Amino acid sequence: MTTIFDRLDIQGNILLPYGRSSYPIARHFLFHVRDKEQARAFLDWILPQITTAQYFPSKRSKQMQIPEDQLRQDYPEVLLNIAFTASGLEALGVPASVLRQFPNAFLDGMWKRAEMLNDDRADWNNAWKDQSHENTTHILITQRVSFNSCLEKVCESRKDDSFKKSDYLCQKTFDEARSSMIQHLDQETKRLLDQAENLGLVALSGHSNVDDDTKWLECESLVHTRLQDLAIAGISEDECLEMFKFQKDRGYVSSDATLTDLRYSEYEHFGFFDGIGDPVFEGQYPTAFQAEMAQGQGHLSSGQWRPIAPGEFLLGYPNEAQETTCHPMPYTFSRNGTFMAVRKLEQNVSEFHRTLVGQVPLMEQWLDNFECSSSSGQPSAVGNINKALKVLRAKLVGRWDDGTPLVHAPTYESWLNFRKRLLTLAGESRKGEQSAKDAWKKFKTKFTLFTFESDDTKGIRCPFASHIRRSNPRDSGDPSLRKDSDSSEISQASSLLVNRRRILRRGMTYGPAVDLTSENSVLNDQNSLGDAERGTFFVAICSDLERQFEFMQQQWLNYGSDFNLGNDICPVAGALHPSAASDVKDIKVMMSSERPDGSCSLPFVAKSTPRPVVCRGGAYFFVPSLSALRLLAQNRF
Amino acid sequence: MRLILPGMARQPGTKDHWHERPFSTLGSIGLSLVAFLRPAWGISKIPLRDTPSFGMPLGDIVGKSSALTVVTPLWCSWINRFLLGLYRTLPAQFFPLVNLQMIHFARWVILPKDRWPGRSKKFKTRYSYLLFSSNFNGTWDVYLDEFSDVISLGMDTMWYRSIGYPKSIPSRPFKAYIDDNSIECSYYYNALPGFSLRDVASALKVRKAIHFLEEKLAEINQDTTTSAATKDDLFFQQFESVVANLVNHLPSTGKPPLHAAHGTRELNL
Amino acid sequence: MPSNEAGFYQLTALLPVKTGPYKALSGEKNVPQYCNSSQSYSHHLKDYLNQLSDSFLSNIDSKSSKSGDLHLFDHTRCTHFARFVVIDQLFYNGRRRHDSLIDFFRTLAAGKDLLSKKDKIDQLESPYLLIAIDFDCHPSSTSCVQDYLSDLWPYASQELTEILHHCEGFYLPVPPRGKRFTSRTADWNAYRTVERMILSHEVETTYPFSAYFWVADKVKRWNPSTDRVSPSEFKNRWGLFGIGILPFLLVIVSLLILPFYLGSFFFNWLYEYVPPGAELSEFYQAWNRWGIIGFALSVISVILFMFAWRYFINRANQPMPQIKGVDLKSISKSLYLQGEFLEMYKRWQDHDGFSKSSIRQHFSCFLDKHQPSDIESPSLQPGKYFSIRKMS
Repeated sequence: MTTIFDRLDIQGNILLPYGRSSYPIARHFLFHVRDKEQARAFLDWILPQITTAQYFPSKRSKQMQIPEDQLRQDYPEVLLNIAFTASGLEALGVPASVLRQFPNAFLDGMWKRAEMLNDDRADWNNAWKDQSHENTTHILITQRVSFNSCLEKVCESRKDDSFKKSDYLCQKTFDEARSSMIQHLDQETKRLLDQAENLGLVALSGHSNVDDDTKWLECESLVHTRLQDLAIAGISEDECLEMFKFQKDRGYVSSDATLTDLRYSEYEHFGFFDGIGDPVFEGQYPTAFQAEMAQGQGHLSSGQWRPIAPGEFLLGYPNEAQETTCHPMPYTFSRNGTFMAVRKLEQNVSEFHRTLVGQVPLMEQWLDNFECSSSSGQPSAVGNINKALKVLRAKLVGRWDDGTPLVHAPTYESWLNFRKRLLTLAGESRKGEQSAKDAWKKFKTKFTLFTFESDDTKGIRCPFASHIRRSNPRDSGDPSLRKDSDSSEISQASSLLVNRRRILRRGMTYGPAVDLTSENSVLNDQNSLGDAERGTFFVAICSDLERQFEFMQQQWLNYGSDFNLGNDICPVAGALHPSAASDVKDIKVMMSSERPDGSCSLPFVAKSTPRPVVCRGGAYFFVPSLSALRLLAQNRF
Repeated sequence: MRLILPGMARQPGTKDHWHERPFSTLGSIGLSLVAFLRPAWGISKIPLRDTPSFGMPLGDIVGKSSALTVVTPLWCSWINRFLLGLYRTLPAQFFPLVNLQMIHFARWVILPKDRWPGRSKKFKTRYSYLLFSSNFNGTWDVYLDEFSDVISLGMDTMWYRSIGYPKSIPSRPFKAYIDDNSIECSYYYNALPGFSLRDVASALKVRKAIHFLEEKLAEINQDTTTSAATKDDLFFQQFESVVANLVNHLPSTGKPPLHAAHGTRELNL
Repeated sequence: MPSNEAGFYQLTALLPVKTGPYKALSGEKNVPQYCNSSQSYSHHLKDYLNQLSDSFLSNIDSKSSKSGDLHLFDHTRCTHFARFVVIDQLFYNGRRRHDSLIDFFRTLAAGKDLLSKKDKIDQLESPYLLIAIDFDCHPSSTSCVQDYLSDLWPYASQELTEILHHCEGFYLPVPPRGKRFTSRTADWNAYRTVERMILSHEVETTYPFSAYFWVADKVKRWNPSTDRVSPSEFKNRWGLFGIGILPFLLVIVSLLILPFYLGSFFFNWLYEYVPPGAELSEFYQAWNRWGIIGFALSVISVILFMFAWRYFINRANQPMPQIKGVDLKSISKSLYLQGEFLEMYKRWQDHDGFSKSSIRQHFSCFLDKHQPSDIESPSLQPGKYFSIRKMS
């Protein structure tokens, strides 16, 4: 059974995320439809510009061995995607008989269901509120422009800087390329807004983090310097320099590289590497490549990973429940479309960080008492503080700051080793030797390929309370295991409970970055950073909002009973119900650690801030296929 | 040709529901035989294309538990009685249900067609009925999803011979069937509204650990020869070895997450 | 009796609800205003139960365990779950679907469309009230329901009388003309009536499932200091399974042989009419032998099946043993201890920084304060979210 998608009919961001460094800025526009005839004309205008899921010609497509005829001719300069809320579809004149077939969650919209998601409606930006009929959100359009083409132009003009994709750039080149990209984006924005205005669409404002009049929310990947990336493990500046020198000597980086070189990173505001795990489903990649990608990211049964059924993410296909996912008629309207939950989540970075720093002394004591790590090469006092903080952070998330899973590297020391190996292999592979490349590729799968039940049944390494174990428990707690007294069956644990709860994450960060390299920086710079709003524009794609997105948010992140945690919320992405939030000063996170003899240590009851993230608004959208857009534009129902 | 086989007539006036007549006529043997050999006979339901709104009335939810009451018609109820008996001999088949840790109490009750309580012997319905009632944690949707994902065969055999039962996979017709045949409670009492079954299971472990430590403490304190510091040390060792295993059994308490209907009803809780 | 299993009694009772307009219970002092004769019994019963439910829910969040805040089932602290469901009618699951080919041939044989015959739809003569209660009960007790009702009676006499008043067969003894019962006698009469009603309408729970039993079994096998779990003693009883399934298979086999018997019956009849000279005897005898074997086998297997059936059902339904410490009082206490233990641990962590020397002190204080072995107090009050029950 191979599913082959009509990739020209599916919108581009569904099947694969756009590169965070190749399209680092996204602008999200919200429109309100006034006149359906004019709005249809607008759809007619925008339809040919919508980016489809056709493969881009890139290094990746070569790896996947995509035949020429399935590739796009060019590397697209502008990416444009569109989605509609339920009221948007209604405003465009979709008949009630069609709308009624859509699921309740979508028809209600996120505003009505906010309470269930533990959002405090008072926190919402006006633009998202579904209260007045004057400015309800109807359409979401996302616009991106290519960074690489701007970069290429800049490099050409400068001649002294060679163009290389997704690498660090010297500050000057980076700034020039970025401003050229923004200039290009501004032109495109103007073109879009002008056309919208001509055709009677109202561009809503108020959802931006900048001011109340900006008509878009701008998301930009965070920029990291080479130094920041090197120092991610909390090592001292001297050690960073030493490492950098080593890299230069070995030829892993070019000789003119400096520590201030910049690049667009995959980090989010709390300082964690983000977007590592995303479900892999049938038809997403070419067959041969798919099996490889599904390792650790698909459906696990009897020790085998295979891709998830496509109906979990697209309407009109078979899903994991062995039935066809709901597809409202006309079939052409729903097929190849999907649903998207969008949330603007403000991150309370300084508060989060302060809470953690406050626990560092206790954490140090805990590590000293119970970890009994071999005392060889006792790190300096500063190093120790960093270590405690890094361990605490890692236990909250389930991954170290650079994304290394705790299951593979349970202690700080093992992480440093893991990281050393990672950097070496990456450097070697950059030199271009095939065997080194293969070794690097193999090593990289460790970031996604691991299991909980068989590798870490009791959560000694990766706590039950940690973010990644909650949002994707993998095989954790598989109920089909029959023998509780012997562990031989554990290796056969499957991802039974998780297969129907996965979401495709397509989020991006917004707002200015905070430098977290030193734990005191936030406290010092608090005044200058206090005002700026920053966070994540969370985007989840799934075919059943209620079963996938809402369930995960409500039962796994905002509640913990499935993990034996009662009402504990996720320390990174959870939220307490607003009525309970006022009574709770901090939330507890139970964690334990593995002692050198493999046994479990006494628990550490960590605290996290009760509101690590605050939802500032959001909506449920229907992401139609290109054919569905045509039906909408031509009003064929 | 209706033959009453000897020894099969029910003794009148017995309250005993155990010894159900296996069958009353030869004809029904043949029919049930056919039924036995053809379990999927005529029960396929066309998957629903629209999305009916399934779920629970709010009155059936008290705290973290929900009450589900389902009454379904049964054909040849003795087969089900037999199957339920078979299940009682095979407790290990139910371990996945136990491992799910969702259901506090559940029951299956067969209501024979000719023995309606408080009715005369003459009153007979066409079918017997199967009453299922359960007290579960989590949402209705998850509960039924897990029925079809984890214990589908168990469910199918428990509801074997239910008229119109579409089997538990795929889940949409199954959910529709349960929804069509369930009745809301007029009154529901839950003694532990703030706790899920997982909380209870953890609490029992914690209690055992506390009793264990209590004993050890008494032992240590009894010894008059050791100094207080040694006693502290000895107790710490015991404490460490026990409490290290409790890391996943100390949940925090709180109110249950809201039900989907709460949100759309704009209830202020 | 599988209603009474593993220390829990799963009471199921189905009582037919009266039909006709509602009449208030005679002698009832304060008849609510809303009740007038235009309501049916079933309507009124639902209304009454809903209000009872409201009175439970309105106090569920109360932090105190004063007896004024307690709901009827809260008092006895042995009811895990209880529900009252009014079943108005049985559900019709649509026209019975047969195999289309069978329908086709039946139509051919009958010569008319089968759809012209209406499907028979089950109708109850009156609505039913389903009472389903899970309560603690000693497995060897034979008077669980009686004991439970008499425990509950002081707190729920009014409510139970009112609820059962809606059901058929409920009548209170009438005092002789001109006299009145003392309140004590009236109470006793009401109690007897309620008890009689519930006992006579009780239905046996065919398959009870209680997770507490399995959870307790696992905890029993768990070693707190090594975290190992020893194997469960509750394993599949394959022998009994065989006793259940084998006669069943035998019946099927004998039914397959039965045609031979019928065949020989036919030949027997044929034998009388064949013209002399036709040589049938060999064939007939062969048939006859098979027929007799087939007949004998079917008779034996059916008889065997009858016995095996009873034996099997009896054995299979033998209740599971009780595991101590999963009654509601013990569970409430455990949940209470769980919360307090975490608090103690947090205090030790935050104030003493995991100091080895102070934990013995902390734990001793914990034991003194919370009395782990005393299941009465301090504990959690059932029926409330979090209310601490303390006896002074």
